[in-house]
Amino acid sequence: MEPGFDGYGGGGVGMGFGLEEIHGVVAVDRPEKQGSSSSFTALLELSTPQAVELLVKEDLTDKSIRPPFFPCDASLIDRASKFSVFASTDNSLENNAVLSGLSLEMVKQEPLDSNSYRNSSSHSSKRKQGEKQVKDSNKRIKKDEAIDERGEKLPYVHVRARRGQATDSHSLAERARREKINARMKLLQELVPGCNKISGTALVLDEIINHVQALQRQVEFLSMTLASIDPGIDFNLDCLLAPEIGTSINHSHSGLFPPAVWLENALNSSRHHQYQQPWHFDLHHHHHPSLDKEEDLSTPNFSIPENSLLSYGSPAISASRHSNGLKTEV
Amino acid sequence: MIISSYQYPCNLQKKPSSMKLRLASRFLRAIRRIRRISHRADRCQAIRAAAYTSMACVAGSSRAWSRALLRKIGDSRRVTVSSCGNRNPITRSGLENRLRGLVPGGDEMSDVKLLEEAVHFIKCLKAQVDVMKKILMCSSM
Repeated sequence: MEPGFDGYGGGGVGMGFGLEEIHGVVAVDRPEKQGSSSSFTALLELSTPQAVELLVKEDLTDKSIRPPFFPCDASLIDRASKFSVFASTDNSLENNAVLSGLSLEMVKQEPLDSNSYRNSSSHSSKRKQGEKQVKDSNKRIKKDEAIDERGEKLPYVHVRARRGQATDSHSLAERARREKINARMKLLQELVPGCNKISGTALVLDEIINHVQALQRQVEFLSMTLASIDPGIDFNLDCLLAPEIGTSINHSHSGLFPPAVWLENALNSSRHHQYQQPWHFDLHHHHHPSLDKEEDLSTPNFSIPENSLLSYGSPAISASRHSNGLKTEV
Repeated sequence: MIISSYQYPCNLQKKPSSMKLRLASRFLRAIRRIRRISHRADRCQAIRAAAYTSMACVAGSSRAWSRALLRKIGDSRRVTVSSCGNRNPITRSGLENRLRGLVPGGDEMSDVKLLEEAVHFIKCLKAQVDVMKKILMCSSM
């Protein structure tokens, strides 16, 4: 044991150990540290002058006494190596050694890292740190290649938890999901008019739902109106591309259509009924919900009873009826 | 049901008027065919179905709601179902249930996806309504 440690200690400030040395260290340490659960306590299992020598030779700052080994915790290394980004070699021991080497590098490079200090002092928190680092390496890898001075192209994952937030993997995932949902809600808010001023998810969702229902009611109403027009009209795209819309009201026509303003008022003011799943259409069910809604409006003259619709065979008669009903309104 | 046989990917990054043009052409084709139906109530139903169908066809298979609509119409040939499982089946608040009821195919979506689909659905719905209004206005001229 001692020559191994001496060799390690003589390696200078941190960077001098080769793979074989670490290999030796790990191989040597493992049979020793069967019973210990923490490398810190493992350190304590050394005789005191050896431990002191070790620590002193590592040239750590006076702020912290940190155990130089992560490799003593074999299970941690095993798990970390499984998730390791650079797990290219099959030899798990080498992997462990490499990972431990990098961990040591991290320790040496950041002596003021209070996180690692706190975490390294207890076994469970060290596990967490390892897990967190490893898991974050899967999520977002910050390549810290300045640390790597020995030319090994191995990225080291160094992630800090945000201030005041939990570092749990579950809460990280939840946070990401919440952010996604908030981004989508913002898009929806921009789409639906009048939602920008509302704050709070529930109210915004309410507005959105109302908007969708209003749009679907509009589709119903427009389709009913379209169905009642004279079939003799020839539609072509040119009239659609014409920009003027509201000026066409004055023409007398067999199929009289309400002015655009009236249409808008009729459609937008009725929010009394909830109409779920209007896209469940089938021809057998003669369902005219828009008619029911129109009766609740402030324009009662527009109510066309459903039986009258069904009883009229020829569309022309029904259209004229329709126009008569509308004329009283206009 | 009257189904136009033309698939068109609805790309919202283009100018919105292109989507409206596509909607309009498809819808008009459907209306011309519907006009031959004599019964008025049937015509009304058919026009409403044609509206939703044209919306779904213009949106194409790229959207989950349009796929659900097309599936409902019975268009199994053209719908390529890519089913990724519902990732968050647990949280189903009352408000979201209403939204799920409104957006076609909303029952199987996760929360995030539901909001995405709702955005696209609202855009298409608004375009369809605008097209129908324009048709009405032009036909009254």
